[in-house]
Parts: sequence; C-alpha cells; structure tokens
Amino acid sequence: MTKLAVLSNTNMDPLRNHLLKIDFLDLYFAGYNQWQSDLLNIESGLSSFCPDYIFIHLNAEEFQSDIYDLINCIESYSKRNKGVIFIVSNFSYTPYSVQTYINKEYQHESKLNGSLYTFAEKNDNIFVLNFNRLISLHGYITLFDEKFWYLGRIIHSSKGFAVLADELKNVFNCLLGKTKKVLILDLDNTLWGGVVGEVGWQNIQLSQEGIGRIYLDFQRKIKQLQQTGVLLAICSKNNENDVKEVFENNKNMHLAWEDFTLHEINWNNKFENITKMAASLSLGLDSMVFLDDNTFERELVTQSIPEIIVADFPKDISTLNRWFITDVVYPYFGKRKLTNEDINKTDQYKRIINREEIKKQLDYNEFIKELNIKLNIFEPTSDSYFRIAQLTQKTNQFNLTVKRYSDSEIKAMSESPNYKIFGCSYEDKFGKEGIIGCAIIKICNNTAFIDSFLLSCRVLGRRVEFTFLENILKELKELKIETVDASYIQTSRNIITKDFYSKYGFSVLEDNRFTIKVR
Amino acid sequence: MELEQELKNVFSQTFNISQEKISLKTRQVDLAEWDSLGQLRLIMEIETVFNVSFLIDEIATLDSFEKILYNIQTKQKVETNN
Repeated sequence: MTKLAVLSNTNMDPLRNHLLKIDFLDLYFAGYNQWQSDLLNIESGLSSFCPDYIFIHLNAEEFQSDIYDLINCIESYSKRNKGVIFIVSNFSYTPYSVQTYINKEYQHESKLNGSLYTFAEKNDNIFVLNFNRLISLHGYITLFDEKFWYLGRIIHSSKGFAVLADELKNVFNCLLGKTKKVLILDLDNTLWGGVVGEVGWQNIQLSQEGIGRIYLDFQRKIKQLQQTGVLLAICSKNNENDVKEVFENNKNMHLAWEDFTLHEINWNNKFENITKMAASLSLGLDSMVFLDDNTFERELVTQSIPEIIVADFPKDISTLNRWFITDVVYPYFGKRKLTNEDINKTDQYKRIINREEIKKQLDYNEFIKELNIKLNIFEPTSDSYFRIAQLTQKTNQFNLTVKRYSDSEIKAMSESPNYKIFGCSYEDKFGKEGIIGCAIIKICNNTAFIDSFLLSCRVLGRRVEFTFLENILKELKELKIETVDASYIQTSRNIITKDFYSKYGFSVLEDNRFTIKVR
Repeated sequence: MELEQELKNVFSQTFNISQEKISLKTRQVDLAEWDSLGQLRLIMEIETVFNVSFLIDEIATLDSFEKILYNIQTKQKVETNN
C-alpha cells in the first residue's frame, strides 16, 4: 500500500473520499494549516505516518510568505526522511482582484512558480503538479467555491476535488510505473475518415483542411507519443494491400508503416489478433490500450480481454484530439522523464522480433554463440539512477524479490557504504539494448545479501542472468565478502526465477532462502 | 430512484456508514460523523448529486435528514414550475 500524506493551508478533507477510490493508497491528512509544523516537527503525525509521497497543495493568497519557506520545510523533512517524493501544486492567483490591470499579482505568481520549477529541476524527489493547467481546462469558477471557503476554509468545489483526485490518480500511474506500453489502433474512421476498402486510398478523409485535418492532427499526436517510448500496433479488418496502398501513396499520411511495431491486418477477430501481439512482444495484455471507433469491436475486445484498456472513442469527431490527450495519454501514458531506452523503444522491439525469427532457424547453443553477446556490468551514477529505478518498477517476471524503488532511493543506496548496486547493459550483433538488468546488494561486514536481482524479459533465454550473477559474485569477492545470501519472494508473475539461485549453485535453505560461499 | 433512497445513499457514502443508521428521523446530533465539517462535506455532495444550491445561511439550519429532504423537494418543485 503506497502511503500518501496531504498537506495544505486550506481544508482538504473532502478530497479523502475521492482518494479512497484509488485503492493502492493509504492516507494521512494534516490538520488545517499544519503543513509547516508537520514537516518541521520530528514528532509530528506526518513523521509517524512515514509517507512514501507527500502532496502539498497551497493556496497562493493564503500563502503570504516567500518560496523559501516552502523549500526549507521540504528540505528539512527530506534530510530526515530519504526517499520521500513530494508532489507540489503550482500556484494560481484568484482571477478576482481589485488591482485589475496592474499585473503585480500575476508577476508575483510567475515568480513563485519560477522558483518552484527551478527547485524541482534540481531535485529528483520533487514533482510539480500543474494545477494551473486544470484551472485552464475547467475554469476557476468550476473548481473553486467561495461558499465553502467562508463556512469551513474549504477552497474547492466538489468538482474541484474530483478533478484533483483524478489528476493525482494519473500522476501515481506515472510515478509508480503503472503506465501502459502499447497503443493498438484501428484504421478506418480512426486514423483516417472513411473505409479504405470501399473508397480507395485516394478518397479517405485525411487532409490539411476540414475534417481530414482532425485525423491528420491525431496522427501527429500518435507519432509524438511513439517518440516517448510507446509502441504502436495496427489491428484492422481490411485487405493488407488496400492498407499498404494508403501508406505508400497517400501523401497526407503522417504515420509510416515502420512506425508500427506490429501489423495485424486481416479478417480475424480482433481479440485473437491482440492476443497474438501480446505473445510476440512478450508483454502482458494489461500493458496495452486499444482504440477503435466501432462500438461493437470495442465491446467484443473488452469482454474477451478484460485486462486490456479499451478507451471510449468520442462520438463527436471534432473532439478527437482533445479526448486523446485527456482520456488516453494522461491516464495511461503519463511520463516524467525520457530515457534513451524510451526514445529507441520501437527499434528495440523490432530487434526482438528479428531475433525471434533467427532463433527459429538455429540450434539454441549455436544461436547464443552467434549473438556475440557483450555485457557491461557497472556501478550506476546519476545518469543511470532513473533507468535503474524504472527497471525495479516495471520488471515483473525475472525479478527475484519484486521490490520497487524510486530514483532518489537508488541514489541514496548508491551513495551508502552499506549497499552496492550493479547495473547491466547488453549488446549483441543486432544492436545495443541499453541497461537491462540490475542487482542491489546489502553489505554487512563480510556477508552480502542480494536484496534485488532482476533482468528485463527481453534478454531472457540467453544465460545472461548467470553471467551477470557470476560477475557480481566476483566483485563481492574482491570486497572481501565471504558469504552471499539471497532470497526468492514469490509473486504471481515471477515463478520462472524460483530455482535460479539453486541452478547457479547456491545451497538451498528453508523458506526460499539461499546461500553461497565466495572465498 | 426515489429521492429518499438517493439521499440515504449520499449520507451513507459521505459519512462511510451503513444505510441502517439513516432514517427519516435521523438528526445531526444522532450521528458522530455528522459534525460541522461533516455537514459541509454532506451539503457539497448533495448540491452535486441533486443539482440544487443552498444559500450560505441555509446550510447551518439543515440539521436533520427530514429537513434536507423537504428542502431538496421544494427546490426541485420550483425548478419544474419554472
């Protein structure tokens, strides 16, 4: 259960019921206007609650201080509690001011927010929640309510709290690595207007003006999404040739055939195609989002594959692009940072599919030899903390203990003499895969304990895990470690690692624990 | 859905209590969760669910289930008459 604390200089109590619906959260609400004392006082309720995340939502007019008052409180708490992540709303001034066009208050608001963003840029554990964007989207009048402010210092309306809770849900999907990996798209009346099989590639609605422009803008947004690391796939009931003609001949197409990792263009049931896609990518059906304008197709897929997200396509096509951002991208594809692995994701999966093709042809041992695998095992620095943390959050199968860490926790352990973290990057004849594994070792005198050992499922079946472990044990021996202990914590997804340590040569103890002497 | 039942649902969800504890005779003093802050949260939900609006000085007077029910009914009648 992720622990979330909510601090404010206004009464945020109505948010509680909305947040209770997000069932991975355990909640603490600070008393009215207690945010400073809760952060500074070592014996506060906040300190005893020991949250993983602290949400600070301050009203600008009530906040009659300098940004450094806020920053100092955050830094004071962070020093005493490493690994906590702060989600801080940016400041919005009331649109009702006697100052009218003097603009002094808006300058103050810009300055506060400027300092807040600068602070967030320098500290990985600070996440700025762009509340101004929500006000822009819904309107101050909708999200704020004077009546309840005067009665009980409750600043937001019921709608305001609902919108805020929704945004926090999306933020947590992003921070906890629950975002999706694949976007599966229909074609007719989804990526262009009209049915290509009926009207031909020349007459689909896709153009610089009018309705065709809606679809063109949609394709642009999808391409941008792909460039943040999301894989694209086509699932369409069509003749493949008709579709290929569009990609080859229609100059208005913004997306290219190669932008899609998989193409299932046939007359089979869509849920069969989608299941096949999941298997060839080795990704769970729960990491996929399916978009289709046809209600019947959507229903069929939802019923056959309950784990997949099927977004409700808009009836009014002019709202397509707005809907895509608010109802698909923010909830399922939220991103905080881009890594090199993200940017090259489509290419990496192309390589997976290529490798699978070659594998079918060669004998297994020959196959491994032919791959010319090169592993680089290293101790991470600030460039790689984020990627290592991302791996701990997203890896479910080859993960011995499934412990999730934030990048600030990885940093803290890296800098601690009691821990050793090892990253592993992979290269073979098809190309570089980047950082695909990590191990977190806890050191106590001359015994080491493997807290985490995990590998991306992309490199399974090539004995990489044994080579990685062998190298780690060599490193530990250099550090005068004599005994290495490890454990296996079973989950529904990591059964394949059950015998990993015993296969390597560790002795088996009770309760899924293992040990080996390295001297 | 009948207005009384819908109002019971709002009470139940706002205060996180079972519907058995709520009846036509329930007053603010009868429920521990129905303190002054609870009152504000309750009225916020009622305004949203029933699409009615209470004046700021009305809110404190709504200290029983029956009063609230009657008040919503009156407001909704006024709307339909307009």
